Amino acid sequence: MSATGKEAASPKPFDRAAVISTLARASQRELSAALDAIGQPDGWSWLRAPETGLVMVRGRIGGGGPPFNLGEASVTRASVQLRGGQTGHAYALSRNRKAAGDAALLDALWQTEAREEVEDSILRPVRSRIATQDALEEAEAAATTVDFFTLVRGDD
Amino acid sequence: MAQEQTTPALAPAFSAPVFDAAQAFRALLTAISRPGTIRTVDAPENPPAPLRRAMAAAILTLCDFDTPIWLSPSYAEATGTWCNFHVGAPRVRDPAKAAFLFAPLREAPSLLALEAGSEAYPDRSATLVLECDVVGDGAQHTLTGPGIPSKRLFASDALTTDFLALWKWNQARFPRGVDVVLTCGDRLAGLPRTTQIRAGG
Repeated sequence: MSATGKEAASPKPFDRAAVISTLARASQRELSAALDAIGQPDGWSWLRAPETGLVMVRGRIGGGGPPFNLGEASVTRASVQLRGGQTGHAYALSRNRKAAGDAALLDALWQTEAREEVEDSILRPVRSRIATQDALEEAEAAATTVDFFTLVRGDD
Repeated sequence: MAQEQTTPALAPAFSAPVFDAAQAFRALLTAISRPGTIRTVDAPENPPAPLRRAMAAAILTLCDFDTPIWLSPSYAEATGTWCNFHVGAPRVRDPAKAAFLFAPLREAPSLLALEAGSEAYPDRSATLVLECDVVGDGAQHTLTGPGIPSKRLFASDALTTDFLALWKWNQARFPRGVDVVLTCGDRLAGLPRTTQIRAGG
């Protein structure tokens, strides 16, 4: 989950990890709209059909401290292969198989000459949506911040 | 991070993972529990060369991240990436550390070198899967032992004189020992450590 607001500010091209990470956070609607716009590649096949499983989510209180198991989360993964041999992979939190399949296809398409289309139709819009959401949440959280300070105690 | 922006082409595994793996597991289980009978598997449809169907099915069915596996040099070179992707089993260099070993006959590791379990845990032994040119009914060898009503005739090019000598020794250390599965194309047969092999019909 590295697609944060800071990255969104710089227009640098995506690298593969960022592509997969961004596609993982795209909604089903965003993914199928993008795939409709670009057009399904002809002659692709499943390398691994979409399948849902569990991953253990671990956390550390305050970002430090010993790790503990927070709970299990559903993850769906899929891998596709285009006729040209490009393979696309997707792992996303959810049980939406269609979304995982579409995300894998878009990842594969990103490796072809359709890269610019993939970036324009899905990666940039999703990244800016995520950045907007993050900013909104940060603003909401910031409004409730309490800054503690201690008055000098006069007992010394 | 940016050095590998594309991934190499791969062959698919089972097209219906649950049913195909269940069918292959059933075939392996039956083959091992009725030594010398021939079972066939229908999947995977297009195993990556040089793996043939029954060998690929055994790899996909038997192994996971808990089972260290050893692939023969030619298998490792041609299908290592495929195994890593579809199976995710840790690969070991030393045959003695593997739970499952896969090789064509000419690259077969010696039975002597493999994990045979312990007296207390004979199930912690290795299973060796070998791709042969011949696995079938024939009067070359006679099998007897558990899972065989009286005797069963069996033929395979894996059963050389050297192999039979090692097999005797493999049986002498029962309950420790190594189990063997022989594959040929889409056919497979099992030779568990309890099976006695005698040359001739």
